[in-house]
Amino acid sequence: MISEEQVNHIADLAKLKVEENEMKKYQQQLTDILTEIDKILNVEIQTTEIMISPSFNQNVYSEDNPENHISKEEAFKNAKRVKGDYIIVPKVIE
Amino acid sequence: MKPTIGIEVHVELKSMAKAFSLSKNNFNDEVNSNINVIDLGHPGVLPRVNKGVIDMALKACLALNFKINRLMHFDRKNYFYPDLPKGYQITQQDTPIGYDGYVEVSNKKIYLERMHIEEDTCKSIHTTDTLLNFNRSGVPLIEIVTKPCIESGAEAMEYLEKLRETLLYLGISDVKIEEGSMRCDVNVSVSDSDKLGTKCEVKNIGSISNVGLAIDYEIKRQEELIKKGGKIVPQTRRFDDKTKTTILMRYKETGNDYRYFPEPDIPFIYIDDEWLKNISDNMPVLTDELKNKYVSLGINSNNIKTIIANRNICNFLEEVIEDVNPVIASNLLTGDILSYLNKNIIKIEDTKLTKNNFIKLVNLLDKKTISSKQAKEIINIILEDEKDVLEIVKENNLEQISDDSLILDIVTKVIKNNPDSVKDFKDGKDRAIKYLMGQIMKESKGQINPNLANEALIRELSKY
Amino acid sequence: MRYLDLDIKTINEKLKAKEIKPIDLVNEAFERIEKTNLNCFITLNKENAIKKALDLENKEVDNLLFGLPIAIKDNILTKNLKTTAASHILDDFIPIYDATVIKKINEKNMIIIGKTNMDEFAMGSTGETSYFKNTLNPWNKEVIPGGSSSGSASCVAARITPFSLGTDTGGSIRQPASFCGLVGLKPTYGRVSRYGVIAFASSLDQVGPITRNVYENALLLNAISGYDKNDLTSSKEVVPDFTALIGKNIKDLKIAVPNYYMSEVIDSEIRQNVSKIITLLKENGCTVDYIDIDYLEYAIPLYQVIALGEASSNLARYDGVRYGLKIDNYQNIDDLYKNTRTEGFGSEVKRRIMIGSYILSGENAQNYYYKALKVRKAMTDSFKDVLEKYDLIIGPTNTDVAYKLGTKQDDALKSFYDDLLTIPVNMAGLPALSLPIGFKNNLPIGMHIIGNYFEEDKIYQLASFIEKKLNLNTEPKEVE
Repeated sequence: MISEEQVNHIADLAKLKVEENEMKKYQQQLTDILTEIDKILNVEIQTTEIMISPSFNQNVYSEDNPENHISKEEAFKNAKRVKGDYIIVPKVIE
Repeated sequence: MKPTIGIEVHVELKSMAKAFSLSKNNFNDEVNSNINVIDLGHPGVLPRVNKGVIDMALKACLALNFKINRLMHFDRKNYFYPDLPKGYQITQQDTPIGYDGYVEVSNKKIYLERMHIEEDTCKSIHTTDTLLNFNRSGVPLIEIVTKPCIESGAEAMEYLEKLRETLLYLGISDVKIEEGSMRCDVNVSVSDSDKLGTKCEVKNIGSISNVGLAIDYEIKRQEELIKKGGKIVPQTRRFDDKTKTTILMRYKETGNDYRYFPEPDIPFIYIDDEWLKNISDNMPVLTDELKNKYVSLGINSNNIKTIIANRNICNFLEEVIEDVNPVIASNLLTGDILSYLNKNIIKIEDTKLTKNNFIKLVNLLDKKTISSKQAKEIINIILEDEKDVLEIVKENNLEQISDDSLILDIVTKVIKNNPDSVKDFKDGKDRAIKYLMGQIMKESKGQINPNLANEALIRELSKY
Repeated sequence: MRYLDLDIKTINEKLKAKEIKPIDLVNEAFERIEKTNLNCFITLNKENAIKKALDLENKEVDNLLFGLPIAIKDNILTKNLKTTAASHILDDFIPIYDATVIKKINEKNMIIIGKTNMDEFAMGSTGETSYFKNTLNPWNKEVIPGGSSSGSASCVAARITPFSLGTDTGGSIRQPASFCGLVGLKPTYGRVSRYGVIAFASSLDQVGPITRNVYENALLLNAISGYDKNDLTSSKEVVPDFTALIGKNIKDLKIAVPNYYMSEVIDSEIRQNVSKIITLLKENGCTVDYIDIDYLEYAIPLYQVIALGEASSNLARYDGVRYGLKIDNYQNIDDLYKNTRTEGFGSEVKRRIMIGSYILSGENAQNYYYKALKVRKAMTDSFKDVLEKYDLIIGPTNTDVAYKLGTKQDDALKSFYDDLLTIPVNMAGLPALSLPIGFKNNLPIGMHIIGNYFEEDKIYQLASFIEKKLNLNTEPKEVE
């Protein structure tokens, strides 16, 4: 069973809150899924190659030439906290 | 007790476009102007790959003796921070473009663990709120990590100077630590056994000399703590410029959980022989080679140091070096020209100085057609005016009189007009020569070549 | 009689002859939306659709898709038209750019009617995880329409629009197409650009067409395919005319049926229906062999590791800073993140982000994720081996027909099992289509046709043959 501490650590990584009354449910559900996932640990395979993507592409790139930009109006259109030329967030203390 | 130091350096590459989006790579443009939907991490966006960035990283790999991961992919480093729009940074964890490199300093090799390509974050400005400037979001970086093989602050500084110089000469970065285009984090540990000690990290140190100070302070601090029987706790510190000490920022938790995994949006990059050859065929001459060349040309070591430290001047010298006396050229460049540039805070290419004019000037000096005092006057003119040096010389009658018959004419005239001094000379009075030389200079309006005139005077006087 | 009920070629002739105008088709679509009450759409594009239809009156009818209404899944970005991915966290998001597929749709002068309902961030297979309530199945309002492209399927099944675009990460086009009696195709990975498609799992996602019949499906695929410099994983492979092999003789096609696809995990009535098709194909000169594909049984754990790992990273950008839900209760940045995301995401999405984060955290990435990428490679190799010997692979699309709404809600595990047969195709990146082949309890049964990379044309060849032979009435009875 996944511990409360583990659930809290994962929630912090994912920046989600787990309320006390959801804790048991999360513990159970995560445990169930992890039991399922554990199946692949025991799969025997010959290949050491990983498949990151089904794409057959290789060396797809552009030359070093800048393309078009968007305007500040467009950039800020969906932002909720804007001050002058900036999108802002609550002060981050280093 | 033995200190062990490892250094991580981030360097901003000065490509035209960003690394994984093609907006312009210039942080200093108007705030939030060089941005597109990729830099903002909008829903649905996918990364691009800028080949120019890979080319630059390959140049750095070759210059720093790295082995190259021919088949590489990118990875995502996941963490939340307001300066990271996508919630992950595209970097290279599994297959850094370079591995097992080294840099030579004072007969020691500094071994380099890896070099990888990644993207920069937004620039945050902390006021009452934190303001985000996305111009920097996606700017290409290379990170160069040493093995833990550095043993002192001085060695670290030497390594960083060498690294800075090399990257500067590759033309791939401005490497200005004060402006953030080069950023240094150091890991310092001290141990009284064969085992490595617990390391403390000092982050974002603002200059190369401060890196030296920070390391030496950290070594002393840790040694004293261990001597007192204390225990080193892993932590992140910062260097305080005022007190020249390091200050605790935070204790390291059990380790960051960055959840790296391969970036599925960017297909593999394969660097084949042809690509690599193309890079190595176009490598600029690097500083070790230049220094050796300058020594063999007889340029003094102070001048060499100054030239290497000023890449634009070095470039200028390189372009004219075949056509001039290199010693005279280096004297002019590191002397009057550099002080003019420093006084006006400009670069050599911002002046009116042409290679052609510079070559003519050096050659006039070399042939002693003009004096160094005259050269100084001409330099001040040609830095601000493209007028031909030869014309300037002619117009201002700056040319020295070096013609033997002209010199003889003047000398004999002066001797004839000063019989008393000739008598004094014969009587063995030394000041007679000085007086006569003064008269000769006066007669030639200062334009006579003094060495040649002096020789002619003594020759003529000996006839009496 | 509605013009939209005619086949595409007939509509096109009438448009050319100026017998009808695009606005007639647009009006029919909106009338139909009002009559049916299926919650297919999150956002309607009525004003712009009408304007566009009127503009088109002055343009030459230059292609078969000209002036035809289409519905777009709401995880595909449409400039200036709200795009939510059926999530509270994006419920006021107005994109500032068009997805590449939208540009292509616009180039053909198709008319976007609206943005369709779906499972939130395409996470789900019932349509029930939508922040905007579930979509109904026009065949039976008690059962799910399937998902995650629930609205895109429901809307075509209800004959609101003849075309829609869906996305398929583990079966999200094929499963709802199957449950709604439609033709739905997931193209080869890289055939269609993902640029501007809200990412769920980047290495599995693909946009594809959902239509009433095979020909129209191929026609829409023609329009949306092709290399896009904005999607580095999109393919430079030549785009053929996908309708070219439709109606061609299927004699001598070699067809494989994976034993796993006809095993006990599949409902027996479904298997019987597929068996009938197998007999039909044999009678018509195809070779059909039962074969094994390795590692199929690991499809679900593979999917959970790879899809959810990628998803946890892809959904990190929804933090309320540059766009999306604005909350007011926060003291600091960590609060802002956590409160925005906790309030903005629904429970299925949160659960999947949690699982994905766990899978990638600490040592788990090496144990689970990299192992999964190796199993994925091995499974793909096994598919490739089979497709070297066979033209196509067939089987059922799903283990059963559509089930009752509410059945699998809040079951962390069971919802993945709907995609048992569809997930392996996404893992390998192959193209696959679902085609209606019969009914069970008056609900459509879908058959799965899987092709080799970039051989969608061959899939259409077989599908159109079966479609013609069966000649099923796949239009649900009037639901109002």
